[in-house]
Amino acid sequence: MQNRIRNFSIIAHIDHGKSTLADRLLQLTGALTEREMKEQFLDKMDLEREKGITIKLQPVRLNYLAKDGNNYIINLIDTPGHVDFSYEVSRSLASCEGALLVVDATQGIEAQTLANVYMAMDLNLEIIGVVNKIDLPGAEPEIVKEEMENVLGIERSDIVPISAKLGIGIEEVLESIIKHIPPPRGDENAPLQALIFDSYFDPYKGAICYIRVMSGQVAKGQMIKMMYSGKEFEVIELGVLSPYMTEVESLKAGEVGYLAAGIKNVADTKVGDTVTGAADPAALPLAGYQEVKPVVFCGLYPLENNDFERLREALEKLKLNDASLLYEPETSDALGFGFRCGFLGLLHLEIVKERLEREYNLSLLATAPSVIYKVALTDGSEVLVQNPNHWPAPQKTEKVFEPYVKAVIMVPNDYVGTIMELCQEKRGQFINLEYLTTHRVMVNYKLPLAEILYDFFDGLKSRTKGYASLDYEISGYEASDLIKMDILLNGEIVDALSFIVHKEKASYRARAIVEKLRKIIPRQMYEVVIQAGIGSHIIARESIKAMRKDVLAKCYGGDITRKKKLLEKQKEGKKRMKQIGHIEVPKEAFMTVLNIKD
Amino acid sequence: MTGMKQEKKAIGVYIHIPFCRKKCYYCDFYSLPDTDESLLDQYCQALVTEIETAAWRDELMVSTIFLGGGTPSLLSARQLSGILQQIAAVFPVSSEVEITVEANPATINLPKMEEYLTAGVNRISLGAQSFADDELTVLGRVHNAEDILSSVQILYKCGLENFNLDLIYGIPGQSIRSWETNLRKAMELKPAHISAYLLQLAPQTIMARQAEQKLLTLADEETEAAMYEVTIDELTAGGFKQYEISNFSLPDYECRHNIFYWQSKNYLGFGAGAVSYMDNRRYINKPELFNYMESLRSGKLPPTEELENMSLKEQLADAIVLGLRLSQGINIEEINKRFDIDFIKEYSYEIKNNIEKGLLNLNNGQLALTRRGYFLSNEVLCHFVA
Repeated sequence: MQNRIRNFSIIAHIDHGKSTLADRLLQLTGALTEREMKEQFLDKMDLEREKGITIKLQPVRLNYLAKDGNNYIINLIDTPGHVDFSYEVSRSLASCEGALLVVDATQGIEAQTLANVYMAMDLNLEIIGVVNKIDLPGAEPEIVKEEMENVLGIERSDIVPISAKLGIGIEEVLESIIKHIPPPRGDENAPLQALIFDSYFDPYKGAICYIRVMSGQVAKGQMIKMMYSGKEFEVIELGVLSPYMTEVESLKAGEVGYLAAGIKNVADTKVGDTVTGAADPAALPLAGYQEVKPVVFCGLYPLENNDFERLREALEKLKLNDASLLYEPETSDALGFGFRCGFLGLLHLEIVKERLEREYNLSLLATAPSVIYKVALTDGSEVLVQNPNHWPAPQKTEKVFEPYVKAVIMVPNDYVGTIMELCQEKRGQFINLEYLTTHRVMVNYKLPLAEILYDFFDGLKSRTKGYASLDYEISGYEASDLIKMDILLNGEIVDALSFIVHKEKASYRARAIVEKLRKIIPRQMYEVVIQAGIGSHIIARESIKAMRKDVLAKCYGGDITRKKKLLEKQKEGKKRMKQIGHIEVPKEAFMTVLNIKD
Repeated sequence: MTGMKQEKKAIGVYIHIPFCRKKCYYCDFYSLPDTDESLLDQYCQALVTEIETAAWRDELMVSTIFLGGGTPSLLSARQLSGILQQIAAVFPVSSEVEITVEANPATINLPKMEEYLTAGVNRISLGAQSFADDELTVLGRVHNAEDILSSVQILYKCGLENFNLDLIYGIPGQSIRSWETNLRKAMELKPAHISAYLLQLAPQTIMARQAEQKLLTLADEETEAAMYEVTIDELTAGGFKQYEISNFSLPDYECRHNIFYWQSKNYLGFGAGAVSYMDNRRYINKPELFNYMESLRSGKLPPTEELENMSLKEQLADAIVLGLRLSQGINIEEINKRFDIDFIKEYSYEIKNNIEKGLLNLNNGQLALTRRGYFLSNEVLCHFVA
């Protein structure tokens, strides 16, 4: 049985065609009819389609009649392609015996891809190289193959050239999977060990786990136990996705499917946890479990104060589906009641905010994201600070530490100087530089995580015409000379605008932010003075002249309707503003700190 | 019910005359640059027919008539008289009816004006705009300052005291001093009413395009605001009372027709491009001259388009947004009764907030814009739209 199973993932950079290839595989194996084909079938959320990226993975089971005359079950476990979700990627990879590495023939390997391939290699996965988009005019499949061979040691002759868009080479990919990826080797009679590689919340069935059975088997009606959480449940439904949910009676070692057990909270189905039998548990859980911890925090506030309860409900519901999201109520003098939320990264933050706004019809204001700082106090204790407003007073502070990352940037060597300049501006420490081919290099840097949050991606993209790619992992804490900067509107500190900044950059950032706010905040009834200060020391100042005119001079019978429409539009515009004291501040203002170019 | 006389509902009648000798550069009203006598005749015939079709309700009482445009003073006395007679034939008309005709200084003469008055006209609104010829040129007016003076002389000779002068400020190149001079010259002519409008350009106007191409420099906000301050100061000192954002009059010489608009009273509009407001519906005769005339010639109603069919909430918004334009503002008691609400409670935040900002004033049961609030009125009004 297991000899006829192949489990694999696809590793690819954003836009390199992973989802298109997945769709082609579905189509060729008959999992989807022509009519059902919808581009990027496996990306479930609209948001994913819009952003052209995969956030959540959906496994799919394909039936393939290979050229050797045998029928095979091929399980494709799609992976998210963003650094924020690298732990989920690792668990998906751990569910497989092999991986397709898809590289764009016009782009070459990207940093993110490389990190994931190394992850796959560490897990002893068989890697099949695929060069996609060979149909494009700028395609250089041979150079890309050379790069794959040099950097990753993938045999050039084994690399499959394809065009997922045109459907060229898809069958070769399937044959290569059958030929090169080993079948699973788990013992069907051993105690159950199934890896949860994803889960989501279904309002009718409760939490649904996507699992890979590593050994033993699981059957409907069986009592199971989550080895890390220790909770026990009865299996109510088992099935496979082909690609629609199809119920089965049992899943055996080597198989991939889903499991529902009346689990009310997705937090009880943690990615990376091991499912075992309650009656006959495995001795040990599967290796590699990690509790995912948020690294980026920001305040989320409803623009309408009375939407606070709705926001709470929305977060509760979203949390059912996204165990990595953290939130707790907080209060801001400027913004009222809201929540401090923790995210895996900026993309995660953006996705959560957008989902809250779209799916729950809320209008939200996000404050500038912050990392978690460690502050050693003079009394010998240490505090963790993820909200600038909890920053200890300077006289009580002994030393401040901030999280650093080890960043890998891959780029054509023409841009090395530019990249180093950028990293230097961002307080980076050079580690080393490696040549991938004669004209592509990999630059390694140590950088403060906070600097990566502030305009680093955009800087990277714009300075390298989009050629650079970035990957990073948190490497630990280091001492830093950091201070808290306050922004004042008409003399009052707006707590939601405070941020932590390195001393050397303080005056530049202060001027830049104050200048930017002057442009963003519209004229008001009275003059508005914008100041940036450290403690009681003001280091930058701008002012916005009072509005003098906002009138419709003429309004007679013939134009009442039209003039009212103008007023309605104005009213709509005000909804995008937060009233702070008597000042109307557009919600974008709270993110300005992010968009300051160094 | 026998023996009880039903109170008739006062309405305004607006007649649109969509013809001009030449379109002014700042104008976005519907008008055509064709003043051919026979076309005017045909149009007036169509108007007469349209008024005829409107005679379906007896409970109305015409309280004001306003001929606007375009340039209504292009009409001959005969044409004008035909229209007014038709209105009187079809509707009950109040014995104290106010009949205004908008006039361009270059289009009137003594005999015509005398005949207008004979036909029943008792108020003239003269589009003076400025007393500086260079400013009139920038605006694209067909008359000069001299024409204004001679037009006013004609009004004097006819014995008409109830006339308005329209003035525009914020004209490109206009100084505050020049505006002040315009205001004084206007007052020297002893009008009963002055409308002082800030120049605000709709995007499709000639001047807006000139400004976009940098052929003109528009006045800045500070200058405009200063001019408005001067307007209120000068006119008030001259005995005029401000009764609306842009309107000033001697006591008892307010334009009753225009007050109808701001009090959300009913009005019927006739002519191509005219807007009507009846039974909480606002609709427009499509601004298509030939369709309009053709429909009426062939015995059909002219094509109309509904602009608004207002819910009670929208009517309330109208009452506030329009009512606050008036200096007296809105009467809380009246609003409460008409809409069966507690207005102050319902809008407590908006009212308090704007009073704190110094834009609104609540006094003796009247909620009104402050002097400072007039020129920032959109900031207030937008809070009350539906």
